[in-house]
Amino acid sequence: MPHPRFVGTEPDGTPLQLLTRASWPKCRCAMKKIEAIIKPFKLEEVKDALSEIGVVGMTVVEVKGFGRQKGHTEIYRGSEYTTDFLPKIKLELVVADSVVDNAVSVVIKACKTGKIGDGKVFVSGVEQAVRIRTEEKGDAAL
Amino acid sequence: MTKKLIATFVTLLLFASASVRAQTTNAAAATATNAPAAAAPADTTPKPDPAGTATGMAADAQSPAGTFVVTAPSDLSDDDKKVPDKVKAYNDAKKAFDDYTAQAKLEPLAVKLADSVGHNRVAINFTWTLVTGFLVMFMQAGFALVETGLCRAKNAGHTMSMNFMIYPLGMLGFYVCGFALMFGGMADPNNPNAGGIATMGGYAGLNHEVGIHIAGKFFGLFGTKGFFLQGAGYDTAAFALFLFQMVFMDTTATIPTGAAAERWKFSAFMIYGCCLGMIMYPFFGNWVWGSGWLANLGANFPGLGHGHVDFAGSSVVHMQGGVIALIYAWLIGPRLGKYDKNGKIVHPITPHSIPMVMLGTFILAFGWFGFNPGSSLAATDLRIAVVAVNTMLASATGALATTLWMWWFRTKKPDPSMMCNGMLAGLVAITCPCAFVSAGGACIIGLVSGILVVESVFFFDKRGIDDPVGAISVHGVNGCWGCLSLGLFADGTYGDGWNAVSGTVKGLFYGGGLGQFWAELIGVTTCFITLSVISIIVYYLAEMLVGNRVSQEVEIEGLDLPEMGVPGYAGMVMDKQSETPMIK
Repeated sequence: MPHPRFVGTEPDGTPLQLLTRASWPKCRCAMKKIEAIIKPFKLEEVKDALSEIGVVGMTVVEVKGFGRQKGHTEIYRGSEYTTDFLPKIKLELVVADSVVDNAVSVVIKACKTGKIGDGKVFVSGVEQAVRIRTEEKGDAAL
Repeated sequence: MTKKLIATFVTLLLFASASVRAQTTNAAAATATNAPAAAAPADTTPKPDPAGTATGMAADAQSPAGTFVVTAPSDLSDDDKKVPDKVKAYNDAKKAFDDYTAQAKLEPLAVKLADSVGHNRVAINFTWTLVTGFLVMFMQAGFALVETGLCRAKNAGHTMSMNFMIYPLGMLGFYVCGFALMFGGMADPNNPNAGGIATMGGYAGLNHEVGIHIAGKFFGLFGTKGFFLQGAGYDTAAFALFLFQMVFMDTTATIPTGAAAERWKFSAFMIYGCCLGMIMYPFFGNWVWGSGWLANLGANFPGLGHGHVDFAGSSVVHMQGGVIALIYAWLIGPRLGKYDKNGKIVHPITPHSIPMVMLGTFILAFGWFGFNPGSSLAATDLRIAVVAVNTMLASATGALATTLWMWWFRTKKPDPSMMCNGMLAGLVAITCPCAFVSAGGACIIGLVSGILVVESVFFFDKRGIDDPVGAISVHGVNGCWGCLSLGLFADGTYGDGWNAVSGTVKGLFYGGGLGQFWAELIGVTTCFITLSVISIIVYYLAEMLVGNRVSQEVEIEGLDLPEMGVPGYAGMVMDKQSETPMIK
């Protein structure tokens, strides 16, 4: 790991350190959260694909949203109206660091149709995870 | 709170005392029984028959040619004795009566059998009237489903409750005074087409009509016998008639609940419900079905066909409901968020349950088999088969015409809610002419109504009259068309003697001329004017007492919790997409 660069001193003489990404207190985040917004009919496929690589737990939420995929215009009793928001499914997984990249690529492969509206995947850090029944912490809780 | 308690107590006390007084007079009447007299001259004071033991006698044992029982001719006055034709007619009738009496003496068993046959015929007609009445009662469920399905989920509890509560409210109002006002004078001889309840024993006790005499003609306005179904009203045939007519009145009553849904205060609705059965519905009903002046247009003015004819109620039931719906939807104002400040529709409010709407429509179509054929009040009138088939055909062409009209010519999509409106429009339109037209006529009438309902919905929607369920177009506009169509399509195969005018009912296209059409036009115009006036009065009465429209906050939140206290769909999260965004 590159050592911090010297940029000056505190009033009491201790060297100031530029806080870079690399010098942040070492993240104990050995876990990552993957949030994937996908088309609803892809849910079964992605669940099966994930269980093949050993990821067996997930949370699913029904959401609405849009990106570049536009809504559509409907007509009711002669009057037009647009529905911008489209139904989607948000998949939330918390996985160990070692599995993250593999899990993300599996999700993408399972959910890609090539058409606008396929969705997005977001990855963020998780500070702590606890299994309620046994109170195991960290990776053991996943 | 105390005031409400006192008011409720006083009302119940008055109600109970009126009913109790009715019971004591009935106890006296019930003990007297009619002696079955097969050959006696007609007793001029009709005795009510609450036990049903004196209804249905030999005279009711009829074939389509009439009864075989011969009654004695009334005596000739001294003036009549000078007229040779009248003397001859009297002598012929007297001879026929004497022959009959002699024959009856020779065959006493046949006379007894005739009583039994007559009783059975009347019993068949009682059964028919009551069972078709039960079918029409089931239409209340159909209306409830259609209206609730077409409204938003957040108002489901409230919309259902209105459709539920209208049944007892309307019924009790009709019981208190509506029935008496409507039918209390049906047998009053002042009315040219007066008659007893002919198909169910001929009871003629509802025989006092208040009306006005103009130029020697009587214009019946309302009846006065049978309040609280007591006195002259406590008769089994009258009760059967009450049940049948009450479910028709409740059909009218439930129509405006759809037009004013999603913004009508429950308390204001209750006031409307009481008024409808008591005073809004019965007057026009009396004029058409209670032997009032509209029915007698033909007898009083020879150029007007058979007067305003309405077999099962396109005008009496549906147009009355549709006009009330129009006034209420107009006065109460459109729902929030649908229109912008310029009156353009910016956010149509979509139905929350199409399955509910279609199920409700099928229930209504089924109930209509009681509505139309039942209006003969007689299973022994075999025209009921024609009535039932005409009803069915019009519903089919109505639904199909609407679907294709929307799909091919208007919006390029076959809107399910409109499909349902189309079937109902066909049913409403055929309700008046169903007994008088051929199958082809029924199909055409349904087809026209299917197109008419679409154009009418667009017409009112664009003018800022927000009708969530299309009640105005389905019932008001097509009720009117149904009556006018009788004046055009009646084919002269039925209706001899209708409204005391001889000859069958014939419309313009079958050589009957325009007379029938004019009579129908007068009828529907009268309906529009009368009901508009009465609706405005009742609306403003409720406006003064409780106010009709809910507040903006309540309307946005949904009426279920604020008005009814219980959500229609507790525990279910409703789709937020169905939320109507408010215009800025």
